[in-house]
Amino acid sequence: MEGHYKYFAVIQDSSKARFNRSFVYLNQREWTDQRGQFQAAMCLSITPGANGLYVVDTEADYAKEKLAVLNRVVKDGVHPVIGPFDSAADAVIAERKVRPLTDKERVAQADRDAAELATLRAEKANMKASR
Amino acid sequence: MTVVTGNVRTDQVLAAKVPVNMRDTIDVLDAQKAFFEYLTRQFNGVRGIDSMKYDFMEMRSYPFLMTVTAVNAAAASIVTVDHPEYAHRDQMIYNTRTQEWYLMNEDIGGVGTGGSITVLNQSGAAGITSATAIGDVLQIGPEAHAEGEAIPPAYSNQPTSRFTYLFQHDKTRGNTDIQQKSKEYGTPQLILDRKQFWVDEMRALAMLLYTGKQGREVVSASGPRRHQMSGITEQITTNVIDFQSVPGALTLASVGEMLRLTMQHSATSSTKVAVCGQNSIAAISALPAQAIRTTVNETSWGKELKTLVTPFGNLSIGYDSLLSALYGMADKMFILDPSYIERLFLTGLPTHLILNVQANDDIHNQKDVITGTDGIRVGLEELHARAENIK
Repeated sequence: MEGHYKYFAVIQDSSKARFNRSFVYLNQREWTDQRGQFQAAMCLSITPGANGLYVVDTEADYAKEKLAVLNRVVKDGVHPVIGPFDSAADAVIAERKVRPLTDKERVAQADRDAAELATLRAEKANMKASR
Repeated sequence: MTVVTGNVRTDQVLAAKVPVNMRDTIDVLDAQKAFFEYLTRQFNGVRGIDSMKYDFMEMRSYPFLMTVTAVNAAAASIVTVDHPEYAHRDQMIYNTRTQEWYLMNEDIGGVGTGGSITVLNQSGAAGITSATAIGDVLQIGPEAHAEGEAIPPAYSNQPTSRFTYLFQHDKTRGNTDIQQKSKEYGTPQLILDRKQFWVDEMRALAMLLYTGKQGREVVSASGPRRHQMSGITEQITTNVIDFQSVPGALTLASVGEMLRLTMQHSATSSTKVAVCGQNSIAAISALPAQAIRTTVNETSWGKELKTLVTPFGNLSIGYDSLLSALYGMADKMFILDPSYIERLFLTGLPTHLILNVQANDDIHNQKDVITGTDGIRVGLEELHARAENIK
């Protein structure tokens, strides 16, 4: 399924409001085409899904417009959006590497560091004792 | 004595003898500059509260989704997710990517294995059929009840606790007794000063209602605390729509797209109010005349508002001249649910003007002071929207 999908991740910062910006990729006035058919005005936007990813189906309508808009957002660098990625997993993993830790994660990290420090101290004490 | 030789010309008349022909009326360029300050007071009234911090609660529906945070191989009996505590025993869990149903196999997720839900496949006999992937979205379905089984354990969710700060703002102007009593052409300067004094402060307050970022000095406070109020831009975070990357102006369809975002919850009002900036009002003005109607809303909030009828509901539209290129705000547009906008002040300290403040030992100088407290509550922020980068 993922073969024809592109994913863009949002680098969420838990100290700020969740970034949930909708980017408009098609904003078309009503017009009459060459065959005389009336075409209604359309405005379409793309919003992150539940997993915080912008997902573009490259085989669906307006894929080119969606990708163009999201690529431009990434290039501009104003908003915390990164991508494109070929799978949701790649997007989430890339986002995890760069996003600020949440309070809960910081506590877990400190616990891990403390445990590692205690292990190192114990090893050092053993080395001293064995000399 | 000055002697005039020959015919007397106008330039030779003694200057002190010629009255200045001064027009009595002084034109005031900005007698009104606080459209938004006024409008927000009409929506849901102004509430006096008893503290500089206003706490309030909002009830949202129970979470319906979880996201997979690690790969779990086929036949695994756990699925690693971001919020395992959302799921309960015998609930059907749907993986939207693999289209596979799981059956919850523990009373509360995360208890058997931290950060994971313990599941069976749909037949209830083995682990999951397809491997999960990071980022998979899982829907939490209802409980599938076995015949004669005990009722499932109870669970529910708490309301969300939110708060907003009020802030106190003062401003002073002054004059001497001689200035007050001196005769002038037209409206006395004192009256003009006082009016402009108020208008300028209301303009600043109106802009702050858009842009304010709330704060309370605690880290740097070696003395008294200072509050700063939050504006609607900071409080509207879910529905933010960005027109940066598309050419062309706002269309009726664009307005519909913005309204759609605000109309997804049952608490929504049927009519929303749009406060337009320079670019959006220019685009709306160019819409066909039949798209814009004049209804009772035109005057019910004391300001002239027109109505746009869209498939997603009606939208009352007003233009605020503060949202212009001059102020760097031309690209902004706000869609507000009037039922959930509330202006706040500290009881006993509404914003007001105190005239002729004078110290007992200083009889020659007097001051006027604007003082008061203000804040704004944007309730259920999902029902409001803001648009940026409208060209």
